[in-house]
Amino acid sequence: MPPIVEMKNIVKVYPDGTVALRGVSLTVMKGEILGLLGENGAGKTTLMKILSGLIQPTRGEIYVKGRRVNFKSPRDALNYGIGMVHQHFTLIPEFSILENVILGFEKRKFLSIDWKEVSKKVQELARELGLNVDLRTPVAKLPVGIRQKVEILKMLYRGVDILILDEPTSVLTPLEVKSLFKMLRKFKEQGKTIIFITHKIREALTITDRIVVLRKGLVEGEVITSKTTPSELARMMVKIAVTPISKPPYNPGEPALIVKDLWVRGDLGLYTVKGINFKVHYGEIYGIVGVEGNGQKELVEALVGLRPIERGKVIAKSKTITYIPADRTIEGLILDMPVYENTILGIHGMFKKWKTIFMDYRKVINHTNQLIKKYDIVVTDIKLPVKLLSGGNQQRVVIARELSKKADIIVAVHPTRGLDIAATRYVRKLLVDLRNQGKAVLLVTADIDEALEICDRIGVIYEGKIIGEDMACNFNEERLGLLMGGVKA
Amino acid sequence: MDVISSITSVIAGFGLGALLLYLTGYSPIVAYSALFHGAFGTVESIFDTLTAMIPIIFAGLSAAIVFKASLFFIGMEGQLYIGAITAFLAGYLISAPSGVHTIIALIVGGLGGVLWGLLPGYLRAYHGVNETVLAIMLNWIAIYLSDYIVEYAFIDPYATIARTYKVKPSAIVPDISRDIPLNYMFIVAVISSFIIGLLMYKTTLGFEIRSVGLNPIASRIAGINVRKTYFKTFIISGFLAGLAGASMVLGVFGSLVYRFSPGYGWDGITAALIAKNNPFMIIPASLLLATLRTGSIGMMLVAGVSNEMVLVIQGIILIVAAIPEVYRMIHRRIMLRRFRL
Repeated sequence: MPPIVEMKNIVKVYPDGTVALRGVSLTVMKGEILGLLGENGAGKTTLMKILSGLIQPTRGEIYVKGRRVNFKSPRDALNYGIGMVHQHFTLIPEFSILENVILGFEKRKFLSIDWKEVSKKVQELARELGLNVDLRTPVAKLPVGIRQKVEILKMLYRGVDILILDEPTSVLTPLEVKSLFKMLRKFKEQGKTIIFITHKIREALTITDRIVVLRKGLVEGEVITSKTTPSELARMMVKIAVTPISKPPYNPGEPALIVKDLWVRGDLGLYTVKGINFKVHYGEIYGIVGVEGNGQKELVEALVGLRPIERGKVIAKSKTITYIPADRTIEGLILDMPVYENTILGIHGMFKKWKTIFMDYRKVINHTNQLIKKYDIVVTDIKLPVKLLSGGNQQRVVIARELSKKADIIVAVHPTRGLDIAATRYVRKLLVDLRNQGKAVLLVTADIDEALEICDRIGVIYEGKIIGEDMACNFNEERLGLLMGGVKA
Repeated sequence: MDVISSITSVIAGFGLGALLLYLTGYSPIVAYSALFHGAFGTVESIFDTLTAMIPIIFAGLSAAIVFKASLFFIGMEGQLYIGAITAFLAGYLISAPSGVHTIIALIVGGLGGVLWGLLPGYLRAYHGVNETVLAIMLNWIAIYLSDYIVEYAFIDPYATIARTYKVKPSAIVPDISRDIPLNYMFIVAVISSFIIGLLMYKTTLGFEIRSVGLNPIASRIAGINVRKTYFKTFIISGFLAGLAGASMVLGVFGSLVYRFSPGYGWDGITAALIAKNNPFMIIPASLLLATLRTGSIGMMLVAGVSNEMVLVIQGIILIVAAIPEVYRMIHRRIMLRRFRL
């Protein structure tokens, strides 16, 4: 049987000179689930954006269903049945499910839309998908897991039989992931082809038939899923042996941060933190683990003084708290500012010339160069805007700046999100080092592996409450996953 | 980069204006040469153009600094009138040795602008009220307040035009020399643009203003007091706009004249946009604006272009020149609104 998609020697050079793909060839067979595995920046998303017509390759040939194609836009790709669900959803929150699904592909009746006809068709597809929601519900009211299914529904409505999913599980709860996988298997049974982009080895092993590993814009290897092992995949992805982070035994000091019956309101005025109690000791990593949107954001903002406390108390034994925010691009950095100015944000008062109002930029540049050395930040010129750095290096800039404030209490929120394996390990090791130095670390995360790997104690947050707290060694994946979903075991 | 894009857009503006002139039956070459002759053809016209630059530079710096903080405050015209009123009152009511009196009156004029920025500054910084709407309303209050001073409270009944009594001679800003009919405020304005440049790029406050302007969320989380920074920005900006009015009263007219500003406050806003809010670029941008002000009469009289058409040409040149920055500012605001700020 000839392959349904064949990409030959694809090269992609972005206008800024970044080489994302250095000659990648890929074949996809009809009816298979192909895993595209690799670290951030390996070129997975770029390759699939090319296949879905969003961007054009610099060089290379693409054959779909036996014909040479040259997609100029996603619509060209759709005509060949290729559709991509992006990591960041492209739904309009104010529109209903139905409106979102038909957007751009409305069936017209005179001057209006043939609502009867389209809603019948969409309803049918939704039933096939197992999506049992009222199609008139505005997307804004849907949980993330359902939104993703709406994205997939949108693709089916457009007649897609080669479905590309870009890191589809990154925002889902463990239960939602299960349900997504069930759906994907059903697709496969119907003869549809799925390309599944991921950087999570465990997921690739669970859902795919075949795995292609990309590294630095090249194909590193290709394996049949049933005939490979996690360690083989990890070796292919990073080309170095991944060893677990070692941690000296748990030896906590005095409590550093005491949270007593804390109540905090969210943006809409309702309580999102509902009476939380916990203590973080010096010399430990305390993990607040939960699916996003369960009050973590408000909790942390109240702790660091960005949000008013309605009731309860926060007692910090050290004067300053260092805060590594969740979204580095909005909360952590000023993307349009040069790297060196980003490294002094908030501590710029320490860089005055002879205590006047003037800044001593020579001192600033020294400080930046020191941080770059200490935290291995890869940057060609510190005068360039920080937005030109890779995600991992951006995160290092945030962390370097925050740790240069030399506080004894560190609050880190999703510090490894979107980072590649090497950068993730670096950040986790750094947090463990801080703990070993006797600092108090509060880690907010939704990543079960991360929580189990580095936390000493874990509190699971669900709907604004801590519904379970224990030593990390007493948790396993399953117990933690269930608790995160609100199921008390 | 910024300089090139500024120059290109100015050229594009003149080009589009030329096309419009051609399409309406005028010769662009005749019209534009009349424009430049009107602005630079004689010694007097050159000094008229340079004098017109003074308020535009001050108002331009005033606008540039608030725009840098991503505040779309456009109250310079009102602040200019209030600055003119307070400078007039200080020049008319206070007695002091000459020179000292001038400086006092100028400072009082600047403080008048600050006063007019306090309310919108406070409401924007601490209560999140839309600064653009506040600015438009306050502009009108300021203009009518100045009408009241000119036509009623301090009207000089023997003057041939609607104006107040003259300020005391000790408060007048002198010309640079007898041969150069250009007052010292021109030099002050040029120096000010360098001072504001230093402030923006070399001081902690400038760093805070730029940070807050580019991303208030990250700035706040990193520990910058965003509200305070907004408020300080309003104060400095107000002082500069007030100086624009004060320099007209003390340097050009010697009194408060009925509706003396042909829109210098707005010219300043345009200058800031053309200069991409770069304080050093405000000077050439102000030269362009002043040229259009003083040269347009020539275009009208010599080239026979109708008054309305002159305004249209001016408008086209300015809109095209200012579009890139306006686009950037709107884009940034939309981005920030998405993140509820």
